[in-house]
Amino acid sequence: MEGKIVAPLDLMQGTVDILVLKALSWGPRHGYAISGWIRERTGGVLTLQDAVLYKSLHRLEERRLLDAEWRPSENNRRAKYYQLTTSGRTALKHEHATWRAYATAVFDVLDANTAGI
Amino acid sequence: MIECEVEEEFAFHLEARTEALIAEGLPPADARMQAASEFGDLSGARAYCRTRDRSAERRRRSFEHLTDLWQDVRIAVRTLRRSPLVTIGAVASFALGIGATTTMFSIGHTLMTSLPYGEVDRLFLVGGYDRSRMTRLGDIGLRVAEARALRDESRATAFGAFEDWPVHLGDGKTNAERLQGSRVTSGLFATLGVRPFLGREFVRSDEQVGASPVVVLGYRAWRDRFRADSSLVGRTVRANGVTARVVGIMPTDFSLGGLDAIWTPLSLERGVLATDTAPHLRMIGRLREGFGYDQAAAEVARLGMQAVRERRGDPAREGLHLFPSADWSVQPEGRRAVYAMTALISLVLVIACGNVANLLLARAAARSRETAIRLSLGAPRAALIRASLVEALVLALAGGVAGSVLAQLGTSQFGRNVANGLPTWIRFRVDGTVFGFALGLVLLAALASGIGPGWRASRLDPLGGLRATERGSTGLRQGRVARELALVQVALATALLLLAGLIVQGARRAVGRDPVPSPQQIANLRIELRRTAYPTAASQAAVVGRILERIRGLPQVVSTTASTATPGFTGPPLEFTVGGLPKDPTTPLIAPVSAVTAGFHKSFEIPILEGREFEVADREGTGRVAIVSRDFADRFFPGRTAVGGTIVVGYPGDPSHPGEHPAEPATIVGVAAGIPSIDGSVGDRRLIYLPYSQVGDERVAIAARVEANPAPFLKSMRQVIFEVDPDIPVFGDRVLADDYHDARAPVIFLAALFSSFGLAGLTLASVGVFALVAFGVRERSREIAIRTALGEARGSILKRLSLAMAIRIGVGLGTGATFGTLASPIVGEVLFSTSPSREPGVYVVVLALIGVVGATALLVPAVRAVRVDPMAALRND
Repeated sequence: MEGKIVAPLDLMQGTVDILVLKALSWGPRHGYAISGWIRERTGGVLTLQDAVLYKSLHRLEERRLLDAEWRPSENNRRAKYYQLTTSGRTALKHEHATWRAYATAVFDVLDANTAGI
Repeated sequence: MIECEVEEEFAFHLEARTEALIAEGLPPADARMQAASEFGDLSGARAYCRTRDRSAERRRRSFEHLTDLWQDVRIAVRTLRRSPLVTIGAVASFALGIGATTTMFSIGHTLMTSLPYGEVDRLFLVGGYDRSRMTRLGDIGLRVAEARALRDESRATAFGAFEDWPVHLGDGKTNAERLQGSRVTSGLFATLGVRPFLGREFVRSDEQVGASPVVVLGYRAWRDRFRADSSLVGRTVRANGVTARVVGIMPTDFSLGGLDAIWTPLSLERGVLATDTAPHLRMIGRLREGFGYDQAAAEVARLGMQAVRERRGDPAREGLHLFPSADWSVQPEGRRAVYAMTALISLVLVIACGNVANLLLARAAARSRETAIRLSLGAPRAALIRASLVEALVLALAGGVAGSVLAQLGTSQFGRNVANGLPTWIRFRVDGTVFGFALGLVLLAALASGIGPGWRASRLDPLGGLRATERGSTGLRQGRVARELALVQVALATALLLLAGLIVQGARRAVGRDPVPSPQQIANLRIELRRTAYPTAASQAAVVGRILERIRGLPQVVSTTASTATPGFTGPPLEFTVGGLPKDPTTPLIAPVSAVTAGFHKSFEIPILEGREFEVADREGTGRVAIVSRDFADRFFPGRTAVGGTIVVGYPGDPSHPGEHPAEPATIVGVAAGIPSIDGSVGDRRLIYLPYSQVGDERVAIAARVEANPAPFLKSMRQVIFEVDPDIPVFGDRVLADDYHDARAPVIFLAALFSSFGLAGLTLASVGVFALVAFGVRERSREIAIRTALGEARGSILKRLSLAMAIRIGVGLGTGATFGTLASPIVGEVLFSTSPSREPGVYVVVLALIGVVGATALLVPAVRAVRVDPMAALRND
């Protein structure tokens, strides 16, 4: 862990799931691609162990929010590609809204505190 | 599979990340380490992912099974719809089988409904017990002292006692009404766990000597006679000639010992009851809190021993015992009989299963080419079995639905025709248990008829199947099992039909003749004389004589008579001894006894074969006389005349000889012809008649033969009795023919029910044999054609084709006849006393019928096959 202004946050299970769903909203990807995308997007603020990511993928597959398929990767190796199912898409929409409401509520509280100081 | 996939996925990730890091400039070893550290807990993730994958796989597979199953169902339905006649036949087979079995089960199940009391499993009845044989003795009554001992001394059980005690309810404006009910000790209803619907039950003070009389009414009596007037509680009614206060109304379904109209208090205190010595009381008890059945039973056995000793009985041989209250509605023997009947009737279903199995087998044979292809393409054998099971299940479900409707009809008809005398809480309908039973039958039937054909299809050798089809015969040949199926079906049908025949014959005997000529011209009613008003035989005979005389004075009366038992309905069986014969204390002689007035036999047109009938001169104070039936005379006076002989009958209604004191010997003055029984209960036809004027009785049936329509005449008879004494209750007023009709209704219905079961079995079995033979012939059509072409005589081919099957039908007939004969005692026990030895005609008819039906089913397809032009048959291949 490098010295940063904000210490990296550990992610909770539900959080990983929504990030995975979001990562797949642009189309099928394999686990490695999802890992890279999340790393890029969060700029290292959120550390996501790949083990946790794969657990989430297999969990979501079992819950049939994701479909999986083996096919050749960009450099022609066999890779497991995941994609959203219809219920996965619905779940993402729903979770997204919930998260937004949750975050708004948290920010409202934090901003009120700041004004009080 | 799953293990490798997870491994491969992780490996792909780690390698790709390592390569990326090397591309960023890290040395390979560091890159690998960095990638591994970014990955984190590798083995944990591996285990987790595998578990998830396996569970996903399981779900996927079960979903696939479901879709496969659904696919099978759709295929089955489509196949079945393609051959509607066969399908209807199979469904009808199942419907008959399931319907018949479920009807019988439902009847038995309903008869065993538990009593409508609270916590019935802690309720017990006191009954007599034969120690040596460990069996229940018939319903024995207890004396007051014995009941008192049980009630006061038992610690484990709270006992209450009751006895049948009808009440005459009068209002002075019309004939008094007789309500059926009992006298009960206080607190008995609470012991049963039933609270009055209105008011209260009896308390200890109601039992006291000199307490003001009280009654509790049953719901129906209250509703019908008092128009459900809730202000009745606390008011008074005229009961048994005294004024009594109504203190409570019992709830709808309440009955005690089958009686449900009225209850009065019963005291067990010393000297209160006049009938202190006569054993009439029945006792019911509830286990007290903290006591088990064993303690209670031991206690009753101990107290019972004293009771038996006081009766000067043999305590080593008999005693008292606690019986589960469930035995009250149906005795254990009855329960066994019902189960046995259900098992017998289920033979119809077994035959039906045989038919459907055969049908599916034929279907499988026709499809053997398709099956062979599917097998060689790698279809799992389990899938073939499943498909066959599903097809059977679809048929069985359809049959089950139709069968349940049949069972519902059969059960409610049974309730309407047979169950008139049963308590109101027994309701004949198809409930959840019965429905579950039917569903179980459906599954069993599907399994029984589907697994065999499926198994055989799955064992088909794919190559053989294909080759055989090319050569024009089938790959699946009629197996040994299928051929033996015919034997079993014929045997079962024979057994069923034989039993049904015995029942029908028993019923025919029962309903063949009226007990007396032209009962449609006889008006018949019953009265009951209260002991307080008519204490002696003389006073009873006097009032009955007055009533008869006035009825005789009415217009259009041919004759009139009174008796304690109308012909066809036997009187109480009583112990007797015959003068000159030694008394055997172990097996006392018992015969039904009726007390009749002078002119009884003439009036009912019962011929007197020897001697004379009773005359007015036979009355109290003159020499005792008796008339016996011919069967009685033949048995006890063989080879000589019974007239002049003597018998001694302990008649309980005889006031000069109460209790068990020996009665005076009576001289036999006449021998009467026997009376045909009314309901098939052949029973003992040894009857004894005593003159009513000498013995009297409280309950009397009065009959009048009239020239007019007897139905309106009954009103005039009622009026006459009202004028003689308004407190005498009149009940059971009917035209005698209607009484006979009602008494026979159950017999006729049961005979119809069982003969339809038997015919259903016969129909199913003959269809089965026909199909088996037709199937067997079809698969040999090529062989037959070649033989015919080669010039073999048709007769010889016919013999070749049908001999084996004919032998099987013969063996089936023999087996079935034996089985039916062995099972016939069950039928005799449940319904009528028929026995195979008495009905050789049934055997002849059944064997001939099955023989003809079997021969037709055998010969029609075989003859058709040999008639076919051999060239045409060969070309068809």
